[in-house]
Parts: sequence; C-alpha cells; structure tokens
Amino acid sequence: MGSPVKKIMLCSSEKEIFSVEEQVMVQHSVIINNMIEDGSYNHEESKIPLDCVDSKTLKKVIDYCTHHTHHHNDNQEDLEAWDAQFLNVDSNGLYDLLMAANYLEIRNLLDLIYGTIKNMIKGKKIDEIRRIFNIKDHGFTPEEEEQNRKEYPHFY
Amino acid sequence: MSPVKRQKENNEGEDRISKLPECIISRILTLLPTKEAVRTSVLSKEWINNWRSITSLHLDDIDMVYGRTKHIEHECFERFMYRSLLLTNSRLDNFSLSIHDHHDMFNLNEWIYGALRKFPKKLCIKSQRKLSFAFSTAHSLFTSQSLQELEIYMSYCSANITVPRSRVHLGQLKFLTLHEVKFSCSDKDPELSLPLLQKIKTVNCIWLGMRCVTFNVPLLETIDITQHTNSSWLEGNCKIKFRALHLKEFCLRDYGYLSRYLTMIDPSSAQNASATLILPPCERGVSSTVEHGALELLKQFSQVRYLKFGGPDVLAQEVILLPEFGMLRHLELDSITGEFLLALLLKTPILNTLVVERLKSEYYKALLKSAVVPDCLRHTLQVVNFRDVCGDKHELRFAKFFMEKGSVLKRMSFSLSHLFVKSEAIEELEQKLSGLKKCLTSTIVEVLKEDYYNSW
Repeated sequence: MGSPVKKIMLCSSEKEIFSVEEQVMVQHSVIINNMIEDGSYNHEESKIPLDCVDSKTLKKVIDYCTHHTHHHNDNQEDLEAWDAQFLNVDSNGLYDLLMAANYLEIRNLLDLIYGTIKNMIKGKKIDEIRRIFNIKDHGFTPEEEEQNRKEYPHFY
Repeated sequence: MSPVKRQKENNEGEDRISKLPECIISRILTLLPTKEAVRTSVLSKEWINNWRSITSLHLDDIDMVYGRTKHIEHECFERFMYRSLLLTNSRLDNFSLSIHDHHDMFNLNEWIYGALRKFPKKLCIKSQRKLSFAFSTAHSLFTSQSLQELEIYMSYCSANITVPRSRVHLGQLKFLTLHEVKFSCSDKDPELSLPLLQKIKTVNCIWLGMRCVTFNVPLLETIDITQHTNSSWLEGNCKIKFRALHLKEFCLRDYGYLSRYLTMIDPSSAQNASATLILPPCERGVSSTVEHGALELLKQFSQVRYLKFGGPDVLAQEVILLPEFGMLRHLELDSITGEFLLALLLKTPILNTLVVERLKSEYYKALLKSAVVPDCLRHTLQVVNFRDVCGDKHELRFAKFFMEKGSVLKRMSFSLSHLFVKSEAIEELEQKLSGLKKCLTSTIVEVLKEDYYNSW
C-alpha cells in the first residue's frame, strides 16, 4: 500500500470545511499550488479560507477539479460532455463559479466558462443578449437608443 | 437556509454580467468575432467602452456585407478598421486581416502599420487583392520585436515587400508562413537574421533582383518550401541559403526550378533530420544532372535518417555521382525507375525500411540478373512496401529480387492500386507471389487491400 493520500482543508464563506486531495487542487489552482509550494500552508493546522466562495459553489469547483484530475485520460468527447453537464446551471450559478475560478485561478475552468458566456452572446440580437443577461436598464435615453439604432442598424 | 443563499435568491434576475471585473469581460469579448465584440457597445451605457479592452482583432471585409451598395460597405469597413485600431488597447495579442475586395493601398498599409504599432504577437494577413507594402509598413514589420507568428496568404495575386536593411529581422519570430510573396531588397546579397525562428513555410515566394539571400536561423527546425511555378526561374533566379544548426525537417516540393538554388550552408546540420524532396521531372534538353540541381540537393541531405524522394530519373544514369546515405534508415521513393532504385540501394548501407510507390514499368530482366546485391539487402533491410501496385511483370520481378536476396527481410507487402482493389486481383497477385522463392522462410508476404491513395 502507498502512503495515505495527502489532504488539504478548504473553508467556504459559510465556514463549512471541505477536505480535498491535495494533488487535485495543486494541479488545477495556481493559488493553492503557490501556497503549497512556498510552504504557507501547514498540513497540521491550516485551512484555506475562501471567504468569497459559498459552499454550493466550492463543492462544484472541487467536483470539477477532482473529475479532471482522475479522468484527464478520457477521450475528449467524454470530457466535453461532462463539462457541458457540469455547466448546466442557472446564470447565478455560472457567475458564482466564474468568480470562484477566477479567485482560485483555475485556468481550464475559467476558459470553459468564458467560452460558455461567449456562446451566450455570439450571433444573438442585442435585445436577446439584454434579456439573457438581465440588462434591464440600459441607461440610454429613448433618443440615444433611437440614434444608436439609426447609426448602427446592423448591430441590432 | 443560510443567509448567503437567501440573498442569492433575491439576486435572481439581476444584471451580474455588467458587474464582472474588466479583465474577465475583456477575455470573454476577445473570444468573440471582433464585429460582435464591437456590437456590445450598444447593450447599455456600461458597455459602451467594454469592447475596447479586447486583445485580438480579426477583421474581414466580407463581414461588412449587409446587402448594401458596394460603396457604403466599403466605407463601413474602412471606418470600422480605423475605429478598431484607434480605440482598442495599446497592446494587441493577435491581429488578423482578411481582404476580398479592392481597397486603397494607402489604407491597407495604414491598417497593417497601425496593428504593428500595438505590439502584436501574431499577425495574419489574407488577401485576394494585390498588396504592396510601403516602406514604413515593411520596416515596422521586419523590425518588430513582438511578433512571434507571421502569416501572409495571398491568393490569385501576390504581395510585394521590400526587405529593409537591419542587423536583426523579426527578433522574436518563431513561425513564418508566406504564400505568394515577392520580396525585393536594395542589397544584392542580403542576409536575414531571424534568431528565434523555428519554422518557415513558403509557397511560391520569389526573391526579386537578388543574387543570393542568406537566412541566419540558428534555431530553425523545419523548412517547408513549395514552388509551383516556373517564375523563380524567369524572374528571380536568386540563390537561397540557410544557415541552420539543428534542422529536424526539410521539405521541398519543387515543380519549378527552385531546387538548384537552395543550399544548406552546413549540411551536417541536417544530420538526423528527415527530408522530403519532390523535384520536377527533367525537361528535354536540360538533362545534365548538375544543371538540374537534384544531385546537388541530394548531396546536402546525405546524412539524413529519413528520406522521401520523388524526382528525375536522369540521376540513375550518373549513379556514380550519387552520394552515400550512410545514416539512412527509412527511404520512400515515388515514380522512379528500377535502375534508380537499385542504384540508390547500393548507396544506403544501413537501410531498414523501403517504400516504393509506382515503380516505372520497364524491362528489368537483364538489369536484375546482373545486379550486384546491395549490402542493405543482406544485412539491414527488414521492411519493403510496394505501393500503388497493379501486379504487373516489372513489379513481380522486383518482388522476386527482394525475396530471393533479402536475408533479413521480415515483411514484404504490396498495397494494390485503388483501381485494382477487387478480390480477384488480390487473389491473383497472392497466387503469383506464393510461387516465388524466399531467401528467408519467415518473411511475411502480404497483399494489402486498403484503398491506398497517393500521399505525396
């Protein structure tokens, strides 16, 4: 038997503690990798406080990192299908994940979310994009809006 | 329910995308086609300037076609170009410009120049219209200290670029791809130093009015040159020399007259490299091998491990001049005569794998009867594959020769020409082959039925 898997503790904004394989987080999160490398994380007593990440989001992030660590040899199609299923969340969930991935610097998760948001914009009409992203108050006066529509009819 | 969660539910329906940090919005917008990124400026007041943080610009004049008149489309694209270049960040990672329509040459130059002023890492220009680089554009291109990747694809026309004098050209460039570019230079024998270049790929590029251009490219790994036209002969018979140290791949597909002008300054740099040389067939009248350049070129690659060669058979008549390929393990030949094949085998003492595609049909009986058995057949040649086989007499004669003389031959295979992939043809060939004597009983002889298409 090999040595027991090294674990680290992550603490969500609700002070809930998650124990995760160290390797999983080190591989994906630049921030955690740096903490482990420079010795600022003490395995005996430290837990990493993530004040801006709630438990629900943190659990998702851990799921993502764990899956991609243990299934990185899967074929591309399977991974993409898993990712698509993983990101099947409401828009708030998506932003929460985005901010968490940004905070922890999880690059492949960031790229995945950027791509997803890009696809939500691409090829859509302006009014549609406003609806998708809840941009209710565009701040333009009716005259300005009309002028925009006149000046850039192909934008709309 | 936790307080955070409750707060979340109240947030439902909130505009959160507009509150994202600028760097995140920039990354997302950069992924969009530029036209669509610019479009987001009318989403709301908060978004007016967001698009300006994008770090790549992909501009294509075909994007401006909205069924308006040509004149307005033109104006739109030109305004859009200037706006994009003027209003975006001072740094760009990536700039690409695709031109299908006629534009004012001054504008085109301004755009490329403007993009280069933003320190792009990658620059890609595709054009179906003639392009003449102004001095200032060419100068900022060749002296760029940011470009790592440069691609110029011209179709149906060419780009003219005057190479400026400089100690170093494109100091950070790693990848260079050029299609149909005509270079000129005030120097008759210019030296171009590209210290970091790893890969150069050119198609139909011409060096006008120069005697010899020398590339100082210490890190170059791959050279890939295709010349379709005779124009290099007619317009720019300029020598091209490469001073590279560790070449890994050299590929020349010459359907013009380029081969005689190419020189590797230090042929030992091609040691361990793989080379693909496809040379034009000889014309009547230009039959001297030296004049043809094929022999000189082959000599420069005599130290390679892997060689693909398709070229003039005239070489076979001057076998004595062929260099010895002392390192060659893998040899692929296309459309050659049996005479040339035998001559080459005598020069490849440690050959392991031989692939012959479309052996030319000639009367080889006498040739093979008196042939000296090459060393490689006795000691090293383990795999022989004939491709595009029709099961003709000349092919069978060679099969017989290899099977009888190959003392270490492990596998001898015949890939049938896709025109002949019928079960009767396979059976017939199998039958003919089974009648042949083998030097080594363990040699596997097989007829492959895969549709085999020419990979050259």
